[in-house]
Amino acid sequence: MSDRLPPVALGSSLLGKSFVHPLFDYLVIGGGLSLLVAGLVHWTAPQELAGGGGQNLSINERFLWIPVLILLSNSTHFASSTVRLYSKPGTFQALPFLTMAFPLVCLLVTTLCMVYPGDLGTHLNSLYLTWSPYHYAAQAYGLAVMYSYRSGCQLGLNDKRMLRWISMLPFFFMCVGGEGVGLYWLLPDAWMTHATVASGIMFFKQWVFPLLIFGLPVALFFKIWVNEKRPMPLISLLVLVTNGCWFITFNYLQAFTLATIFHGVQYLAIVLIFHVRDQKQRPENRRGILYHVVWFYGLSLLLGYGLFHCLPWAYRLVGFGVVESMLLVAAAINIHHFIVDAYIWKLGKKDSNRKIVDSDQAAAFV
Amino acid sequence: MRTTFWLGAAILLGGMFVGLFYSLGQDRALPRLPLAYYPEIKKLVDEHEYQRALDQIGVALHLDFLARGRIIEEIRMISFLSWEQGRWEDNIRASNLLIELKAADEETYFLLATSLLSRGEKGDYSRSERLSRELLKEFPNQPEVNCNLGEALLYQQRWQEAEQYLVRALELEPRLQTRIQEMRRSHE
Repeated sequence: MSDRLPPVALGSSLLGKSFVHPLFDYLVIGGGLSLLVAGLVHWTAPQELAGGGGQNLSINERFLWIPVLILLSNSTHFASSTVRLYSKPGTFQALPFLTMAFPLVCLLVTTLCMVYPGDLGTHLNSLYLTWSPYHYAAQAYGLAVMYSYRSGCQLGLNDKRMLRWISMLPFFFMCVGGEGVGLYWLLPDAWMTHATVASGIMFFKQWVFPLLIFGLPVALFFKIWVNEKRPMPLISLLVLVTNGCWFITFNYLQAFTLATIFHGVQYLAIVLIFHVRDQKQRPENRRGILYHVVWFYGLSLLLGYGLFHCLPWAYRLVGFGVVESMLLVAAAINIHHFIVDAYIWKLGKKDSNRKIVDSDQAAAFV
Repeated sequence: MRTTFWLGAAILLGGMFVGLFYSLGQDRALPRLPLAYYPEIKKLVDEHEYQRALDQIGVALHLDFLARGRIIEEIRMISFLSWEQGRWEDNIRASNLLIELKAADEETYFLLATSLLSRGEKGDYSRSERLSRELLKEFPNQPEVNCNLGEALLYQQRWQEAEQYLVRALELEPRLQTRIQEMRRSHE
């Protein structure tokens, strides 16, 4: 009995320790807002849109504001990892290849893929589409662990492993998503279109994955609560459920549109928090929070616009077609972002990220 | 390492600025917000640049498999518009693409059969005949299909067989008389 948390402590343990404010963290970083919007889109959209019947009826056609939202959220978030890479203290010394040589390598690979769009370009695109859900899943895992850690819920190695596998379920679900992606990209067509394989996959997609994606996070939540005598914060559970929801509720194309927008929102919130904290910790800093937020977001927005909207035109100027210019530049930016992200979010002991996660000054940020 | 950094940065920033100004020069507008390339392909279709549109669609089929449904609709549009404008070569290419994608319907086969007859290169008549025969299985009472088959046979100098289908076409649609008479005259 003495191990049991008192009601007030239990409440705050469940709520977790937020970075900005519980409402902001749950809605923006945890993805609560995306669930509300997904619900709205699902229940108010015409049948063919919600049910995913017609592939040609994309969300973009129904909602003309989506491209603006994609620029403000998604394109900006891709650029923000680059801005973070170059503005984070010590990255030039710690990551010389990534900061100095990798952009040129990416440019060369992109150009090569554009020369051979049917051969190399297809694989670049498939790699990006397969990697995307993995990236979202990894972000959900990272956020879940980070909030648990901040909120004083120490996850054991086994719990972390389980959490990792569970957070990867939407990625596995997307791997059997369809043509050109995941298993359909890596394995021969004849195998994937075989009647037994196709019906097996359909069964897994319709019944097994939804059950696992929504059931296992809840089961793990209670397992940790019972074993560790204190719960993970609910926001850790929310990010996992949200990520699953994006992919389960909508068809492939719509899932990508929604997931990219809300993943971008989630990412921008967290990267801004880390950037502002880093800047505020600098002894020479004389600027306020708003300045750092506007500077970082503004620069990311400009870079996002330049990369996604202007750079393809340069490729068109030198003679490449509009399709390969747009699609392959987008694929390359995505892959660059995934790789950069794998390094800039490390929580090494001397890394500034660790200090921010450990810090108890959440209230000061507000 | 520093050189590669500056080289990469210069190319990227330079590329973005060049792209921005190129877009301004071409469209008299900033690069537009919709990321998708569809508006550009639509523009080519509106300008009747069907071959260029089909070139780009060919690349899109490789790269954008998520939007296959939409791409197929665009090919259908090109197939119909090019047929309507008597651009047989474009229609044949678009129709062949639809067949390759297993997205061809009866309309595609019909338009292709007509375009092949009008182009009249080696092998076109026999292919048109095959397509029309296939269509005829499903639509035996369709006058245009009977007429196409008759014409394909006529071009292959299989007079008696041709006569059979042309007569049937006339029975079904007397207004085809002018077309059939012209056809006969050109083969006499």
